[in-house]
Amino acid sequence: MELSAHDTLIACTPSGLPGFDLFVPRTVEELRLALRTAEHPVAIYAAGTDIFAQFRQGFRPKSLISTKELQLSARIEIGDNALKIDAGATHDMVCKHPALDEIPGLRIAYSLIATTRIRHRGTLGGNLMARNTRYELSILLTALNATADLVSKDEEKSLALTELWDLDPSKPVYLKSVSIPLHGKPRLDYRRDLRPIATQALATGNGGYRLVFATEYHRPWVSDFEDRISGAQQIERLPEDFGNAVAGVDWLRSAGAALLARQFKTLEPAI
Amino acid sequence: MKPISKKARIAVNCSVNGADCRHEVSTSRVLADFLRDDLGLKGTKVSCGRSVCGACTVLIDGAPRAACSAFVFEADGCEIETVEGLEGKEGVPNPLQQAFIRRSAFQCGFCTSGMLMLLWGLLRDNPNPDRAEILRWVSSNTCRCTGYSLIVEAVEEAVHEMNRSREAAQ
Repeated sequence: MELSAHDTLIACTPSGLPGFDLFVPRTVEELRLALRTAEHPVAIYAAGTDIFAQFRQGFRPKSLISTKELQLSARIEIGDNALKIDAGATHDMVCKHPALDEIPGLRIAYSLIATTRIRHRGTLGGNLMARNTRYELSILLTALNATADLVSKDEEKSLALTELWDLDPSKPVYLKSVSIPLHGKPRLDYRRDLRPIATQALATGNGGYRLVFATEYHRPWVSDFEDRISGAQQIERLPEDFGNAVAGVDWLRSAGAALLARQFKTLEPAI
Repeated sequence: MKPISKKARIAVNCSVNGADCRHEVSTSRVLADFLRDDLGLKGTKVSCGRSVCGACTVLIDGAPRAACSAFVFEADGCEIETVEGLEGKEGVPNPLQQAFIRRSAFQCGFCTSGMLMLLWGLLRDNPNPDRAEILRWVSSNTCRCTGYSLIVEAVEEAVHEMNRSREAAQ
């Protein structure tokens, strides 16, 4: 809400957006120049499905960096024993790409998120960089131990997806691509039956498991373990502060354990 | 790369319902406001303002897009289609609109233009969608009135009619 000229509260809408300086970089070098020179606050704009929600909540950028002309921003390919997805790839593009066959369970998990209209438009980069606890790609890809390649005004670096949550929002960075390692032949099972209360991803590969548990209110909780027994023990360690007005932590732990049992059956049916 | 100043006007060239359109707009001009206020195309309705409900769905280069969550500068060089462009010559509703009318697939009508554009996008992408695909697409947009079943039936009827017309034409 914002205060109107008549001292009343009115809803923020994108219609009320003041003009911003618009940057349309074509290369990573131009992007970094834009990040260095743009007046803050800066919005990095891909498909707009998240940022318009932010406008609705009162965000008013002084600069907007549109990635629509950024070269090579929507590739999906296998290389260096990893599945690499550029940030500009839409959810629909990713789901239809044959490279996803390298990770059983990823295509079906990816295809569950968002509506058809959003899937044709929403991008991997936008979903991850929104750092919104209601968005799901962070959950799936963290389970698969993915890393993010980032461009800031000063450098390019790679981070684990869990570290994206710790980035300073006042220092804009561009997510260039995400790499999912393929060594160990990873497999994924994602359960969103209990959404919006909770969702859970389990991935296996290299002899171990990674569990990612998420609610609408917290960044995803990650646990690595070696076998089913230790997995069941781990879910009992879901932090106390995951309990919320909708579901207490005991209920969430029980739900997580039930989902985990199903996920083990899916991923390791022979055991 | 020189930024476009917030004080500048950007020239945008696009096609709207088949007609060439050239306007100068501010950097932050939202497509829904441009269509409604600058071009007088009031058929595109704005509801949630954040691309959730889909009432403002238009087609941009054939793909459904929430006009409330798009800037006009993005539409440079694009083909935009709104509900006003669906009807044929002399104002004859297109097959999908006719099916909506026959099936009473609307009540208050506020979501209808967005539904029509979304589903016209589906039929152009896939002229023979099955019910599961129709449901997947319909679930992108919100309707508080109809419960969706009549909308789904209207699409199925439109598919049937359009296939019949295509076969008759061959």
